[in-house]
Amino acid sequence: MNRAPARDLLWLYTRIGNTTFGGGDPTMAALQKQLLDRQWISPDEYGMVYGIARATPGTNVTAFCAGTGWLARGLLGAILAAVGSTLPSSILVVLLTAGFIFWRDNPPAMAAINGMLAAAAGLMGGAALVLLRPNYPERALRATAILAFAALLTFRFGLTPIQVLGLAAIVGAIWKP
Amino acid sequence: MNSFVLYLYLVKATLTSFSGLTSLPVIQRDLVETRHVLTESQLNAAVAAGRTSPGPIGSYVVSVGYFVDGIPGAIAGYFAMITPAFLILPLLRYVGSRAEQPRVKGAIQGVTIAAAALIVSATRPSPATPSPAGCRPQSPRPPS
Repeated sequence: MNRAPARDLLWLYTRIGNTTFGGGDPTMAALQKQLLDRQWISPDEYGMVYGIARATPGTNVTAFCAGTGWLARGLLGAILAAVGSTLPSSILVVLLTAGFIFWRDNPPAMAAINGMLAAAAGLMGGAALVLLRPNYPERALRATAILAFAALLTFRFGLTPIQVLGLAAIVGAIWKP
Repeated sequence: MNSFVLYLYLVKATLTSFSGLTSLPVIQRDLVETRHVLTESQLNAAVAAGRTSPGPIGSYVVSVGYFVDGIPGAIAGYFAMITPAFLILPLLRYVGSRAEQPRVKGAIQGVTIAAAALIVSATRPSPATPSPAGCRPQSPRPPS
């Protein structure tokens, strides 16, 4: 893995963290490609941080940024990633709070936001494929079983993400690769 | 309300939540019902501001801080939002140092595969997913 230059790292998290709408998952999906392309973290590390970020209190995506920043560039990387991914949007939140009434009653602004949310959906489908790919074809049966199990619990039984990930960790530990 | 006290209230809420809006019931109880420094409609506007802006939905606590104490309050809200994120570092160090053990390796792979399913499920609104106890619906309510 490459050691990330501090300035590149700050810019990456600032750019991705503040230009993706719809919460944490689209942001983590967009960061995945960038971090893997630069070889700052490996696909296994991405999965590990994703899972642990879910189990960390507070905003998952900020914990995810701190965790991946730490793997890429130590403590400085963690701080730059957490601050870079949150500070500009937080300033915008303050500005929006001041002018909130205007936005809520403005149909074109709301329509633009809905369009960006739809584009994020396609991005996330691609991110899911990258996570799965290392498991095929060698461990196809195990991966397909865990995937189906997780999908069933999520879509059918409405378990929360933290419950699904916890159960998947137990299955993965028992059914070793 | 003093900004440091505000920070303590907000960080209590973010430290006990695991995703964007699950800190909401705690903030509502502490700041709206107990301390009366925030109104219901301000809280709703804060949630809408957090959802409208890019970045994490959890950034609504910055808006809450701004409503309570202006710019110093917003700064308190910002620190309350990012403080819990750094808890991931000891967790990662703990898991990472054991990553070569077969069981830990298997568990990490299981989590990674399940994460793929969760990412896909996040692309569609799922009415089947119950919100955590006491949590509001996802869309901002009209001011009461």
